[in-house]
Amino acid sequence: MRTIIAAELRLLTRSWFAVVMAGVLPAAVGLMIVWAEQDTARAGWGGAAGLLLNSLVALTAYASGTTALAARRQQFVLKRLRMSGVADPAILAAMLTPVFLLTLAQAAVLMVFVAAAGHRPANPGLLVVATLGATAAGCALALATAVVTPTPEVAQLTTAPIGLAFLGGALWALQTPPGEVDRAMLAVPGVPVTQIVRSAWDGGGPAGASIVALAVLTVVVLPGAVRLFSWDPRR
Amino acid sequence: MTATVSCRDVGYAYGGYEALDDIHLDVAPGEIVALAGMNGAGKTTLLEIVLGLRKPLTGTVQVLGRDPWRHRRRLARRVGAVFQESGCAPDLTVAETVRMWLRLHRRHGDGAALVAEVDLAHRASVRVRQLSGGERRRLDLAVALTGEPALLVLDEPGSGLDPGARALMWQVLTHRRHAGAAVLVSTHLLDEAATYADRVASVAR
Repeated sequence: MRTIIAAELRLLTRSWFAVVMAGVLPAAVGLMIVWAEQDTARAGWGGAAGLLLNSLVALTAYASGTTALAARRQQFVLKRLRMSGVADPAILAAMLTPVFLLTLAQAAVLMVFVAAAGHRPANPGLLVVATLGATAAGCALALATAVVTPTPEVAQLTTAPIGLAFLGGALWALQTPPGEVDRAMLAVPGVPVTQIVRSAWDGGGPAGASIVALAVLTVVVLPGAVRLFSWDPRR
Repeated sequence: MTATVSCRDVGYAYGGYEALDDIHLDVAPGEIVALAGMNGAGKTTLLEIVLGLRKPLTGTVQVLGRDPWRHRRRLARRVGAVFQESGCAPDLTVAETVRMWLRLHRRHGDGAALVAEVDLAHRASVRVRQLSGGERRRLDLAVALTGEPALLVLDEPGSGLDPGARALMWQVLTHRRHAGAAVLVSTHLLDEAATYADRVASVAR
């Protein structure tokens, strides 16, 4: 598995434009949000950080993860890797590891920007939990979406609903006082992510139910997605 | 002598479409068996069943004494495969690709000898996407050899190869056969199959 991860990470660095953009984009977005928040102070620093994390997870872990799996399947790379002796779930995990790590790195850049401009998070540990949980959920949903995504081109369409669920969920949560977010809302991925980040940054507020919601989402989605995943583009 | 590949009464269907029925096939160690048949006859399906990528609907398959569907991971190092499509990551170089597969099979070395064996030494630092179709097929063959294959399964490996490259491919396969490996190869090139293979098996619909 480590060999496949190393190869995938090497492939990621083969496009320097992509690497630069992966670093520049969160920094630029972070600057804009910080500037807007300083000017308007509408969402609070926790809310701004939550919206940013949702954006990263939706674009990098989720959308790029789905596209990467569809592309590797179309290139028959996944089919060949099944002859490597590595277990099927480990191959899929290795394929998603680069976007997982990239999302964490981008999130770190963003959080540093927000923290440098505003005040520091009240509970950094909880912020780490939010980042890891959101990224893991994004990767799990990427795998599930790849099940119904035959080509990388189609990924632009198939990732739209859940991508919107991250971003729309974040906005929904930001318009709802933390204590009034109910369980049904937690089923929308962006809501629990925003709830946890808000709680971590601004202090107080319930986070337990949101952590459970993210964990359940990830654990429920993964086994089915692995079982239903198609390895051959001709099937 | 125990057969390396043993198929008995194997059948397979895609939904309601019957792709294979009542297939019997043995491949002994040190034997090259060519698999012939029309397009759509089910050659690829049969090879994928032998590789453990598909579960036969009927019949039994044994590869090196094991059920390949249940023991594909355990057999991986001893079974080399060349698919119709390359399956090598386009932005890795030839040398990186072979090294990666050596590591996946827990073998040491940089793969230079394997790359040279398929006449790609001069292209070792070139990315896969920049290779010609024939060069990719030769890289596929090198990747198939990165384990210690007691069985080589090749799906139309000669397609896209010029006569010289095909001769090289058969030379490599013959060399492995002499070392005791069994070779199962699907092909439409019946004249070459008659020249190099010990037997030609036919899949008919």
